[in-house]
Amino acid sequence: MKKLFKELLDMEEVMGLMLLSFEGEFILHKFVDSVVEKPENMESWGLFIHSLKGAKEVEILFQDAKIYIRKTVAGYLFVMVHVSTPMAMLRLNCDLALFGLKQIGKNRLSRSLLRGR
Amino acid sequence: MRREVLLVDDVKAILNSIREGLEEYQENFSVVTAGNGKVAIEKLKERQISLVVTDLKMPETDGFSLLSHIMAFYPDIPVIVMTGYSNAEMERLAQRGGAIGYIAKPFKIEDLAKKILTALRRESDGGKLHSVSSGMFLQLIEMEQKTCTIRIQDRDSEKRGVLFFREGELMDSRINGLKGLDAAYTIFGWEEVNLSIQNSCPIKKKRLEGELQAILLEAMRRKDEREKRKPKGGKNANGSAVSPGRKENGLPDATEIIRRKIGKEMGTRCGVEGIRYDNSWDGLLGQMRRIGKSFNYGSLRLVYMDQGGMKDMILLSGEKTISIFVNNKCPRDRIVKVLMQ
Repeated sequence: MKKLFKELLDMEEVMGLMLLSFEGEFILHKFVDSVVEKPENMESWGLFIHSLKGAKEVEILFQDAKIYIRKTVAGYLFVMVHVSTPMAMLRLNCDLALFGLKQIGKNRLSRSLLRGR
Repeated sequence: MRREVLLVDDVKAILNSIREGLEEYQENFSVVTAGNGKVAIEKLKERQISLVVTDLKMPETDGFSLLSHIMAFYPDIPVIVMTGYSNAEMERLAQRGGAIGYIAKPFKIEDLAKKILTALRRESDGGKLHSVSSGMFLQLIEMEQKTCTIRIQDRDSEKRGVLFFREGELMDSRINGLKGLDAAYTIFGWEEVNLSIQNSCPIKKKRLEGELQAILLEAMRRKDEREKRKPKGGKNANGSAVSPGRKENGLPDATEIIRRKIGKEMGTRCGVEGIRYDNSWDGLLGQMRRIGKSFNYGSLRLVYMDQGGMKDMILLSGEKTISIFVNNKCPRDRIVKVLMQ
């Protein structure tokens, strides 16, 4: 699974990523540096994902960082990047990763995720 | 819009007789008269004439000179030529000069009225719209790359103007005798208008410098200047209420500032379809602020959302949330960069 997102994580500007199910459960998360608070404890992610109202892509721009959110077959992918990150390259790397995710298929993905847990 | 038809003939008796005959059609148009071409040119400058019916042989400025003047300065005004010296050559010359119709004297009033009504109907062969926002509509014309002549009337002052578009590009504009950019700035300053669309444009060569978005912005700036000079108190000098998109202190509000910024930086092809205050997303923005705080990412500034439909949405975080709707022609990274500056 992590191999699937290797290209993304290898991008210099990427600070971390999370894959959440449509119900807000954590499927995967990986941060380059340690984060102050565990992401699981931060927010009601289920409610947040519900509030996205099925959006395909969301870019959240903060003063010092950006979060790129992308709808996938398994849920929502969150990619945290530096504020100066060129988004076109990030989107391209996401496209490639999500293509791989699609190929695995929803069922196989669930199985591999269960094994990985 | 009630139209005015300018009737030009040097024989007063004929002029009066035709005018009386056309009174029957006053629900559709009224008649203004001129005794020769020179007077007709003055009337064209002063009034909002929709069509000209002219004799050819007249003292001072004759019908042919008048026709050529109209083609040069008022190409949107159709001309019907009437003459007692009717022959095929004369008819051919009149048509080559730009006349849309020809009628030989003597004629039945009904025949002339029929020609006038047919020509006037062409003014709105592309449709009519009432009480629309001029800025948004004109940007739509540009986006759709339409070729048309738009006759536009300000609902507030009842003044009328004409805009010429060829493949979405503003070619020229005029209000009575005022032409070019000065006319465009005035027309674009009108907020709520009635308009009719004719699906053709008589102007082939662009006579206006600048792109539509830039002209719209300059018109807004000029309007702001005028507003600032007007007495304060919620109503302007004409007694009309303070216009939308403007605060009561005469300064443009945040949506207007953003509209201008995008226009200035991105020009006409920015793909913006609407900018407004919108608190319906405040719950989601609150959640995003909490996420940002937890990650130590600083304050929330902007959100770009692709909802999978025809339009994407940008939310600007601030005292009041502003939503900007953009179409698929909008260069996404560019607009985000402009808004973040």
